[in-house]
Amino acid sequence: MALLHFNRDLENLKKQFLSLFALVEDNLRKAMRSLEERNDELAREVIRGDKSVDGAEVGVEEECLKILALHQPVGQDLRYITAILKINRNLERLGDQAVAIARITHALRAQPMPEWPPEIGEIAEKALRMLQLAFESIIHLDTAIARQVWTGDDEVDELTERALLTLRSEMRAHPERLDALLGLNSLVYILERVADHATNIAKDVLYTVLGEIVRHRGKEFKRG
Amino acid sequence: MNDIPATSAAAPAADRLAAIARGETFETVTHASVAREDAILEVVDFRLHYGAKQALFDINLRVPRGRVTALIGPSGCGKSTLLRSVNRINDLLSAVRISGDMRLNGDSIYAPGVDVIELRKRMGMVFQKPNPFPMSIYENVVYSLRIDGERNAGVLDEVCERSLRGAALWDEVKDRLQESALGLSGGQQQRLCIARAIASEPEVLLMDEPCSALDPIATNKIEDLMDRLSGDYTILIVTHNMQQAARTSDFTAFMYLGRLVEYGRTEDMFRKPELRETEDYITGRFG
Repeated sequence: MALLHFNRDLENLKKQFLSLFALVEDNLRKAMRSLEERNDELAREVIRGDKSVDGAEVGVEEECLKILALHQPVGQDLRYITAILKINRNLERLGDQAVAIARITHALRAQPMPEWPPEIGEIAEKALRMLQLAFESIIHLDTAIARQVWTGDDEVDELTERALLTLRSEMRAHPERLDALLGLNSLVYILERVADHATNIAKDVLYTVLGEIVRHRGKEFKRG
Repeated sequence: MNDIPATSAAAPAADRLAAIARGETFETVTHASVAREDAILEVVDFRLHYGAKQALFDINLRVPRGRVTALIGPSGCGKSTLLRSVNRINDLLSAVRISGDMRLNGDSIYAPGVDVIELRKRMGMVFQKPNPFPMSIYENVVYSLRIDGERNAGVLDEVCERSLRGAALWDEVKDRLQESALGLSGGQQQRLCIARAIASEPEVLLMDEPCSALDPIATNKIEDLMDRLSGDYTILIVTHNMQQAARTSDFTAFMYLGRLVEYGRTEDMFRKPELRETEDYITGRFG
């Protein structure tokens, strides 16, 4: 293996990949802010920004394929590249979730916004925190942080159930607020998806480090 | 230069290979990305016969300056013949006839009156098997300068150190420069040969399967060395190891039965070659 060349290509890939990750995280936070602050201009910025995410996703994939074709990595290097390929897809979808949130902001721009059930704020905070931790876990290839993300998913699932119940009773009590409440209902599902993507990323980090495909094996691997 | 997408290839791969085998004309597919490069070495309509047998057919190849270009192809495809034609080693064989030309930095290599010895000083050559001279490490490195009459010990010392550092060998041999080069390991000997080749600051470094006699660790060192040298040096390497071509070169030329079939950036050649023949070769389906 020509290590110098390989390492250089790998460093380039990491740079591209981490900047995509940061971009997606930023877009999600902006999207949430656009909804909280009812800022339609910010929502439009998020929607426009998705093009950069898509372009960067293609760039990362190309770079992974180049490394696979030219260097035939094995062992942890192989696992790392394949993990990045998969995480890359998760990031692209996370980018789409940011757009979906921004679209809610846009759709509800003229509507009075009801007070949010407190669970929604909690879910948003947890899901974004999980994503941030997933980011750290891939940077440091840290299994403890990856496991923290995975366990966080259970809390988000529980909060999601509660939030949906609250929203349902709100809808019954205030049918005149239906549009806004449906928007919040979608938001809950989107945030749950964000947490799921963060969890998938964490599982791919565990795979990279441990060499085991940990999906569907929560009992063995979730708590280390 | 052609830009033929693979899918539009009129003839199926097997037919085209058969056509080449019958000696029919074949036009090289050179990617636009190569044509944009500044070429240090240009091969122009080059043909070579060994006696009655034609070994190279109308080769047109531009070797980009400061980059690593690999020649790949099955045994007998002419890649070593082409490499050896660049420094006219083939001249030593009496039955060889050539036509066409090669140009190094614009100077004809084959024009009548070219001083072959002077020409070869402009190129370094590294062979399959390390071939240190039976003399000290130091004398091996400064050999070409001695031949040129350089006697200044300061100059010789400086070139020796610079070349050995350039070949990533200095730290391993600096305390035993006066010992015989034959005592070095195979991998060290090959790096010594590279040091000797770069001592005269050649315009092009020619490498003919430089790692095929080396173990994986020594191979790795040579490959890293190629990486370090590229930029300052242009490297043209023949390798039968496709993975080596993939991981070390910037450009790859695929040859078959004396023809240059396809030529492009290595990352394109190994990910999406334009011709089915190249695809079949790099995926191990023939050759």
